[in-house]
Amino acid sequence: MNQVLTMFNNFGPQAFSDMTCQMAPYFSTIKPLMTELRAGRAVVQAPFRQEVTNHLGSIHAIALCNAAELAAGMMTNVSIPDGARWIPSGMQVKYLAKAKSDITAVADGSAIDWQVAGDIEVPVEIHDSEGNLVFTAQITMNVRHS
Amino acid sequence: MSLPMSTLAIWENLSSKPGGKWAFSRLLCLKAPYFGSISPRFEALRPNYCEVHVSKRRGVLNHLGTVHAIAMCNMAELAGGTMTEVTVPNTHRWIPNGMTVEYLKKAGTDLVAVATPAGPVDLKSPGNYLVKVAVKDTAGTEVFRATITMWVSPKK
Repeated sequence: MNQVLTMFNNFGPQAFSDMTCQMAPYFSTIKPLMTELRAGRAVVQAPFRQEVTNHLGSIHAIALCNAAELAAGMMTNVSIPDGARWIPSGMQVKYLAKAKSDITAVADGSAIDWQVAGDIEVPVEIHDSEGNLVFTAQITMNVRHS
Repeated sequence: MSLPMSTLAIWENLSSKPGGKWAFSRLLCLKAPYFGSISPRFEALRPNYCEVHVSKRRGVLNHLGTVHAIAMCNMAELAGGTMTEVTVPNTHRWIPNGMTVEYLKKAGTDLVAVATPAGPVDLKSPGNYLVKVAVKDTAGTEVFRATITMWVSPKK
């Protein structure tokens, strides 16, 4: 099984999220909790905190980008074939509404053919605690099979 | 941003004084705290131009030990937003509604983001205003580029 997936399943959401933030410190700025991770799906929650706000008092657009990047990256990591490598090459995001609560980012890879090499478009949606869609992203992952 | 003084006036007051650029950068991070996560430093700000510097330090890294893609998105948003703030007249307001970014190279050094308009701003009717941001490393290589869409409309 994929090494990252084994870690998630063995250590659980909190310890796995802590380790991720140790490895890639900029993720720690949103205090993320990866609550679900499996091939084709990843869910990241991030709490509303003053540190992640903008000048309007809502969650900063880039903090939403950070949650989206984490969900998309981890899902890609556990979905691509063994031995394949990936790197994000770009992203398109839309800010749809102000996020004034804790948020949940879902990367849904169910419609993606993970056996294909090259550029893969990963969709991410972020909802607030009332279920409103506040943000969408398409993250381009370049996958190389070795 | 609703300050008693315009953002440009505050910059012009502070930027020539010792520590003034630092103070301006800190003020902006107090208003919009998440920008503080990259410890940005403004170096130049005028209508149609904004330059923001960020040092490579552990807090902004990814798992490869280079500057995190989202930290560069944050630089871009800060440079693009502040440039828009001092370019759009105070009869109008603006809000970002989306962004397209490209990660061109690994960012292994300190970085500089420069924001400029993609075209003129149309003030007659509400509409999208596109802002270009380029992020370069200390060798002058472009490592990241963004186009930010700002919705600009007359104040009511």
